[in-house]
Amino acid sequence: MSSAIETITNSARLVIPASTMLLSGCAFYGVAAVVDPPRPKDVTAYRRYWGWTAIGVWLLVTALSFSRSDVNFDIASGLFRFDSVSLAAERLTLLGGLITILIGWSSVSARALPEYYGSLAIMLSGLMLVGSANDLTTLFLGLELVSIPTYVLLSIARGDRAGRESTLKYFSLSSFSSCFFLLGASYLYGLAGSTDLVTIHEIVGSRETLLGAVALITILGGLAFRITAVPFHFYSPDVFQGTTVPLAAILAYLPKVAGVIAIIRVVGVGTNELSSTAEYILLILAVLTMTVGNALALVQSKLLRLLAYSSIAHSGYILVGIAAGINGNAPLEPVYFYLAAYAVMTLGVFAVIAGAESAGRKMENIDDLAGLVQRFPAAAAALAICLTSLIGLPLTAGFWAKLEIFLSAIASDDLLFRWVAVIMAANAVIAAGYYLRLLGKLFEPGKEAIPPKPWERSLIYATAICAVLTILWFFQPNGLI
Amino acid sequence: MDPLLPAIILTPIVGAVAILVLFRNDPKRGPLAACAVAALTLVLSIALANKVSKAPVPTGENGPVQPRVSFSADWLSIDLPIITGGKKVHWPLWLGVDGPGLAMVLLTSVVTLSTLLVASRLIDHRATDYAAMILLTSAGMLGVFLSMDLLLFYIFFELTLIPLLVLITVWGEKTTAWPAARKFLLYTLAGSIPMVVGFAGIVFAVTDSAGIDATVSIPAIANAVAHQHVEFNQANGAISDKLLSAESTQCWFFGLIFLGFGIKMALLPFHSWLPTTYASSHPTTTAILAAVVLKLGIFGFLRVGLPLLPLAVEDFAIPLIGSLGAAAVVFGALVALAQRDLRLLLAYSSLSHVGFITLGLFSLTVEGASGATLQMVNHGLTTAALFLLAAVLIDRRRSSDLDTAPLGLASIYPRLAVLFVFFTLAGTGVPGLNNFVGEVLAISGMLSRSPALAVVAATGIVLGAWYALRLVQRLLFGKPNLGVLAGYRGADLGVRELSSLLPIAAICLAIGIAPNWAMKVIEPDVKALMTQFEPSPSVETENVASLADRSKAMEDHQ
Repeated sequence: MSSAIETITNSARLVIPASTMLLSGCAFYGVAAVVDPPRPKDVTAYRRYWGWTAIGVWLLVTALSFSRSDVNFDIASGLFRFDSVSLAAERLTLLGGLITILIGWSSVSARALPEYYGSLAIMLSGLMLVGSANDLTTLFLGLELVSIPTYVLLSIARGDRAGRESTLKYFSLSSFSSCFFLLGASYLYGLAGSTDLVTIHEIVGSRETLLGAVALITILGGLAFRITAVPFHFYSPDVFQGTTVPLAAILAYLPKVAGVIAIIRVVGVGTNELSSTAEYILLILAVLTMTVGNALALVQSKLLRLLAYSSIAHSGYILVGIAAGINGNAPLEPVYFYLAAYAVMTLGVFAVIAGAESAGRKMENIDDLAGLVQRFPAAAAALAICLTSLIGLPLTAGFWAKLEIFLSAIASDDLLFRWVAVIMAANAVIAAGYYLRLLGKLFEPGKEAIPPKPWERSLIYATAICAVLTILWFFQPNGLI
Repeated sequence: MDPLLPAIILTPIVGAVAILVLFRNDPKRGPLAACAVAALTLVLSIALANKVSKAPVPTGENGPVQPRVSFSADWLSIDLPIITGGKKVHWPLWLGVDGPGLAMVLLTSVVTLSTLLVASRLIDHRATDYAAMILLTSAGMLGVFLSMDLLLFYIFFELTLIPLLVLITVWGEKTTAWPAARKFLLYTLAGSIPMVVGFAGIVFAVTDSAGIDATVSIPAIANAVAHQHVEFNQANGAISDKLLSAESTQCWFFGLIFLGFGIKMALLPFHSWLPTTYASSHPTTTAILAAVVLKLGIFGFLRVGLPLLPLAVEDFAIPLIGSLGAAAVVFGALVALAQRDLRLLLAYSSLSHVGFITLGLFSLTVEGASGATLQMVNHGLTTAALFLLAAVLIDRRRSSDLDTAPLGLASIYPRLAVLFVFFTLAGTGVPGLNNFVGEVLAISGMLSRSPALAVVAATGIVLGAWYALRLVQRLLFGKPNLGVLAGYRGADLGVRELSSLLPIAAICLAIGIAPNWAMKVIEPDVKALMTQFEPSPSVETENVASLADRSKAMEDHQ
């Protein structure tokens, strides 16, 4: 009995940042229940109050995360483990957390602000837990901690019909995908007799069984929903369009990281039967995802829908990176770097959209980008940097991100990967087509003559952080994680 | 270690940033400051030429690509998180220059300076920004010509696209510039992204097969490939498919690289971006595009394609690329004949002349390839000059239409007319001027490999003279139509234009009369590169001899 308690305390020590984040999320919820909504003249102070509290929590967790560097690497203890994957997950969480806190600061309705930060904190802690999971149960726990607050967020973000529709859609499909995950997990448990991931990798990975393959396919299907891989992507454009910009930003990033990290955890990088089956599934998903995502993005006219499809396409590239890492038994640094670069470039685009909206512009269609360069030259420059990075041109982080995925795909000396790399190259060109369309619109003269309002300061910071990191990571692609 | 190399790349970058900061709203001094920066770059390039001429000449013993002067910044090196052979790919950042590289560096510096001088009079909208963008473009191109590793080469290759995109859209034709720029960018990316897959493939294949540490250095890979090539010949082909010495592997990667460089140099089926881009950009931008940007693709074949994938090159040289080159010569000339627009005519004539360069390079003979390299410079100089003259002319006329009765411009713009005729003659390959030397070498190189293609290409010279002379006749000569000419604004060429164009004319003349000094720079490196394409009787006879010896020895033994 004492050994069980010891295991739990040892495990708990590994997830201090995550549990701190989780507790503060609960605290946000608790306070939200007793605090009155602000009077209209106090709104700015109210926002500042909650915003700084969230930043404080973020700083605390960041300090906790970085202070742990003396802990031995790759230690597993029952429910949790601490290795390069969990470290990467933590860093990616903190990066996305900071930017989404800033984006939400002034663009979420004031009444829902404490709930927004509470849900965000719980999602972030879930993400960290997924990274530290050493057991199917903790993995599932982390995944649900990411998705349940999403339902709350979606429902409080927008009260109209479209908002309700997108909430319901996301809720039903997300729980459906969780069922798939659980089904697959139960098969794995049946095969291995344990929920411990290391044991599962040893037992299930040692021989090829039909049930093992079925379990893997079901689990990957469930996770493919989180990263919006084709054919599990259908909800994403509707949900993006039916919700607010800060929420779309969160949806574009956090669930994707959770899904990617969970795939890495379940498949387990290593050369066993489990991973060699997974490799092909992931490659098929990757090719489908990037091709369909890019093809459909080409024909969009709504801004958020286009971004949804672009984020689907990026999932495809990331899947190539995972498959290549699994194949070469290599560290997945290219994947983490891609996620980080994706975070700054995509969230940068969302920050600019939210900023332009906060300054009184309608940002619904692609055509609404026209004239941005005259109204807000600095924001247009930031958007241009992010779009250049999304294309993958040099001087931006996106260049290294794509290049590293290409390199790791080719390095795995499998002819199949070579072909996938070529398909990915073709996709990158198609993607350049629609990003260039946005760039062109950005520099077109606009029509309306409404005098510009100043931007909210938090959105200026969010945009600046994204643009600066996008440039900085071109010159310093290493030492990120 | 020579700090001159990074200095040549950094000078225009730092200069561009400086003039953007200092002279942002000063359309007078900004462009002049840019000219000063370009002049400084040219001085540095000449200093580099001096160093190169004193450096020992490569013998080809250490592989087909050997920089004569190099610079490596190991403190800047990065270990990419890609593991091959148990080690991370090391990227040491290596700059270096050999003969062809030096020729291109000098061309870039000269053309940049000339373009900036002419543009300083012609660009009236955000002149400082324009000059800064030209400087950034030239920095990117200098980077390509000075890179000695694949990664740096690729980064600079892509980097030129960003300032070019701005140059084409902001200062181009109002309505057509953006679609043209988009077409240009998408076309180029459609080649260059697959190309980087090919690069990656080369790096990993050579690491697998040669047992060397993962490297992106072009000389090291070229050397490894050349050694494998020899071993391959000796082992009579008993080498697995995975290796870079295997023909199938090389062809795979060559296909990808061919896309990248072929599109960049507007090889025949991939040329359709060229006329729209040339006609929609400001003519001074087009001077840079035609003179140097177009050469990036050819230089890429010379720097990467030929040394790293010799087997595939040998397979594709004559039947595919040579034929496409010959077809481009004739096709470009015929389409140029039919043009009614000055810029389009010059664009298609570029297409035709690049065909000669292709032919020479892919004849895979020392003669043809060094002629092609020289011709890259020649064509760069004459085309840049012609586009700059066209820019002045279009500025005065407010039109680039050719479909008129003879205009007789020579009567009011005599200096312009003299230079125009001079460069047109140079372009058509009149003996005594530069293009003659390059084209003759290129064609005679091809003649030794495939006489048919050489003959086809030679007809292009005749067609070229036809459209060029007709152009001159239409624009410059004939009875001056005073009513039309009265509407023209602006004077003849001034000090800036002359100081930009006369030196180019002098270089053209110097290369034409005494090509040896230029060939001396280019030829040793080309010779080293071409050794692997010569049928190697020495190896075979050695093998045969040793076999004979052995069998004789065995007989003796018995």
